[in-house]
Amino acid sequence: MKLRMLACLFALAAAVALAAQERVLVAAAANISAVKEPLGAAFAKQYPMYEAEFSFGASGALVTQIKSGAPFQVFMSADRGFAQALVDAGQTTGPAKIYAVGKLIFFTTRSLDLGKGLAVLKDASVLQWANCNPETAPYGRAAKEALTKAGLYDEVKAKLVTAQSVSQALQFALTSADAGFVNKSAIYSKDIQQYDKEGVFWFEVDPTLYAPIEQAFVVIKSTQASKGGTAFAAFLLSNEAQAVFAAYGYGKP
Amino acid sequence: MLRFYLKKRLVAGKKSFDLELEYALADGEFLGVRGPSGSGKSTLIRCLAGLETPDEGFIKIGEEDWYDSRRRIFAPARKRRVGVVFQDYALFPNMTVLGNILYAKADKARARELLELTRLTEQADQFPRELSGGQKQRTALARALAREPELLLLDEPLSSLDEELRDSLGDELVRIQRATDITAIMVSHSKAETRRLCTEVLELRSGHLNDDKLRVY
Amino acid sequence: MNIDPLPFWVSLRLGTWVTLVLVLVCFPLAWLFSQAKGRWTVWVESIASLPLVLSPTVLGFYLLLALSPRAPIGRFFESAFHVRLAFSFAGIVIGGCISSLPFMLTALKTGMRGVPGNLIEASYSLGKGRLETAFRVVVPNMKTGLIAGIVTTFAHSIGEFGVILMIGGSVPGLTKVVSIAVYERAESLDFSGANAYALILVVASYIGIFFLNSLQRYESRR
Repeated sequence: MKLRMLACLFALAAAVALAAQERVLVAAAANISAVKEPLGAAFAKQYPMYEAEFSFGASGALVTQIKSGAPFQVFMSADRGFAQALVDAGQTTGPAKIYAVGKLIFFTTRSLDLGKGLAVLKDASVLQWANCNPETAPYGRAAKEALTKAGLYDEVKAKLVTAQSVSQALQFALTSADAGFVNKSAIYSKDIQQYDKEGVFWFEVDPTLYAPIEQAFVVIKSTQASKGGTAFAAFLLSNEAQAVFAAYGYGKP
Repeated sequence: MLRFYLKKRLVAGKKSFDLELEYALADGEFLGVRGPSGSGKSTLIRCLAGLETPDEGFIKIGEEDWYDSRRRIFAPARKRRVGVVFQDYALFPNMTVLGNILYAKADKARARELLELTRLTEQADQFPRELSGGQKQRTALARALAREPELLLLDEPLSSLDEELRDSLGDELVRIQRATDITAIMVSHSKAETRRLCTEVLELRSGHLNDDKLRVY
Repeated sequence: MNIDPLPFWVSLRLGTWVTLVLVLVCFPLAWLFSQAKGRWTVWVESIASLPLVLSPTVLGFYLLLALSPRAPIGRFFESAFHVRLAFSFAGIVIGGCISSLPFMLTALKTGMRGVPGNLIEASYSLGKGRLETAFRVVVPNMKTGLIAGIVTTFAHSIGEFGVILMIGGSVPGLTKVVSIAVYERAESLDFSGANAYALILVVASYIGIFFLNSLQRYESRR
């Protein structure tokens, strides 16, 4: 009798062990945190044997980590350049591929006259505005470029507060800064649903003012034979993943 | 004239007893209170100095009330014109002998007087760590006298000195007390010492004076 | 490779201000603790030691919320003094002070406890009040403790990173300290630049600590 119970338990354990998913470690640019859940769910649906685990940071910061041997399998950059840096370093299994195009938005929680567009930054009521570091975050680079092209950067740079990633830029804009430049997908997250009023709290920055934020990914070469990275890579270009990106305000690659 | 009645509960480990005594001391007298360790001698000094509060009683010096539990009067140490010589002298290490005296009263002439009186003129610019036991004691005395206090309290002033010094310094003490005509109370565990140096001696045992009947306050 | 000297200046100012403010703030606090005898002291002392066990980033996070113009503290400062504490030099000084408070407080407390009680009583018996006793008797006799407090506080606040990362905003000349500069350079893969900042900071810190420790030795020998 006891033996049969033991055998059943064993079989159960084995089944559970087999059913446990293999983790796929993905290093993703901070803006992807906005789509983390729907993307993860869609991936799990397509590849039930895998589970995506995301680590977020500024694209440049992540490259540093990966170059130093951080065990990520896929790197989702917020631009082409940083992804290419890893290709050039010979750390990838293939070339960089674009998975989405990022959209830059101007965001504020205060009552500013957004009809003025970017020039609203010149207002005296804007004491501080946040942007992420242009050297390590592509959205930051884009914002700086847009302001420079609009001839506003020099005038307003004294009021600039620099964040280390686009998430931190959003943090600043939600707390102490009067405004900030963030990724459009941030608007869709639950916590700031109350600010999802275009023209009142945010507006899209004119795309002609900055070079497109072509977000590329690469699969990292690894000593362990794991198919998880390849699977995730295939998933990112699939219709399901693309649908998620579209729903969250990204442009088509 | 110093008049006092003090009652205070003292706890020594598991035992506790009441310190209770009453006395009247005429001006210029040198009172010795002798008792074994743990009899409450230091507490007596500290209460008279204003560093500790009795549970009950009064302390009156001349016409001044330093403490009266019934009328809720309590003058803390710094408000009393009292001079204290602590058991380990408590000299300020960051000041010279002269500095210690000047701290009490910033009167250079008076300081020089005191240095002469206690025969410390040569040591004026030395720091406490450079002094011998006897010199430290005399510095403590000079400092305590600087403000011309109404009462001089000495907590076992000779106990930490070796034998030869004890006699000579004991004599010094008496000499200085007579020269300044100050009312002084010294506590000690030595019978011989108190008998030799003081004009009046009381025995303190377990918080009570052994001879006097207590006059109820 | 161009090394901007500004972050060094900011770090130096930060270290100096934090140390100065903490000496003034912690002195009466340490005095209070060394004199007080209630059970409440354990409560307050534990709160004062919190920054030691809290992650600097946690501290920075709460400060970010507290100093925001939406929160009472931030709002008060903005309306009363027209100063926005977040992303300002004053803000990181506040952050640095909270973060380094335990260092200064402990050093001063220990130093004060090391002053024999009878010295204080002797001072009282000579007619001196609490303030005079504190300045003329207690302080001169706790010099080594004071120096220890200054050294640890200064060193800790110069190297402060987590808190400043959260509430600094990396504003050049105001909140961009050397530790942030090192971080940013490293993130941009400019390792030689990061190394230059880091090395200079290490050398400068060493010189400073060496000098203060020598002073410490001199004082304790006297």
